[in-house]
Amino acid sequence: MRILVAEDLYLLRDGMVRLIEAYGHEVVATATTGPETLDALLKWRPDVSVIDVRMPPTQSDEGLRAALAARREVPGLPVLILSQHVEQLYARELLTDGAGGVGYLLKESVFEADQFIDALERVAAGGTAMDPAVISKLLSSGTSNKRLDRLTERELDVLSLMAEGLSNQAIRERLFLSESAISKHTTSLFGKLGIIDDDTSNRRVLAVLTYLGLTGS
Amino acid sequence: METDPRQAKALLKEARVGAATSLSELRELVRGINPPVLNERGLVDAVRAMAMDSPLETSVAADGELRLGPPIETAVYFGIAELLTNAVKHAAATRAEITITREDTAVVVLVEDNGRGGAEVNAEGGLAGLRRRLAAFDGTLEISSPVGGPTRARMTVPCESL
Repeated sequence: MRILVAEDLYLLRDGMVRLIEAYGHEVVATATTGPETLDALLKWRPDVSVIDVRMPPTQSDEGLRAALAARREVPGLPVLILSQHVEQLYARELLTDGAGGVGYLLKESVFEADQFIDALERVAAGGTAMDPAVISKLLSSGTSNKRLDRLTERELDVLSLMAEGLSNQAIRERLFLSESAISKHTTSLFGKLGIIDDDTSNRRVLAVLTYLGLTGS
Repeated sequence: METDPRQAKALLKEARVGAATSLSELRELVRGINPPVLNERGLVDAVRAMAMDSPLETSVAADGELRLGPPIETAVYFGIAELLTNAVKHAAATRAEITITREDTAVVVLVEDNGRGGAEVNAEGGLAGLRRRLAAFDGTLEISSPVGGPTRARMTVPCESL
């Protein structure tokens, strides 16, 4: 994959570049400010970009703004946003165009190298990668709480991982489930929630996130 | 552990849940001290973010972006947070509506819930504390909360006219 790394802190930027290269991917550009990030996104149209939310010049949310602006120009341009803290609000802004190809993770998730690279690959393929912290907040918020009452604990586990953007295969590995067990759980939970199970996992993830209220206005 | 593995397992599980909870409480605490989204986006988006995290079904109506001085923003933000907490804890509400409007020389925030009302401003209570914190900016807090509900709170904080 051709990847852009936008991060103003030298150590973290260099660390990510090395990590990405160690997994056999190519870093085509790096950026250290919001405007640079937007330019690089539009110039290189990378297969996926890792972007820090907070960068110069204002140290607020220019990384996120650059990513959203680039996706307005190039719909579905894959971006993975890294942040010190997660906000459902930002996750919603990223997901709301329904185009997929977005990730939103806590910075510390970079240190789980395998999972981080897996998330990058998923986003590059048009999928999503939402931090577990976003999803758990989402599941415990007022609106979804009641609707999820009917799910078993196991079904909730499956739903959370699905909302993070994991495929059935990955969910099975994470929860040590057999193929028949996972399909039993998914069929049951989709039935209870009244969501139509879509074959393509990206659309399924978006359906789940929409159900949980993370997309749309 | 060796004599009663089952009990030990249960205890361990409990300890793990306890640790995870403390960690997330710590996160909330740190966040409470300085909600980053308030610095990044200003009052309106920060309140939208708060509404999304709230256990109440919370709607936010606001006209446009609104940037106030950081101390005022912080006071109003935590004021709203406190009113929402009261709505959950004391009024057993399930829904809340927040309206943020800018008048000529003031920001007006309305917080209404569908709870059981009966809120009073006591000398010792949280609402009196909130009123004092707003007063530091010449702001006011009015509460209407008949027994049986609903509770309507109105915070007004003057700001320079545009």
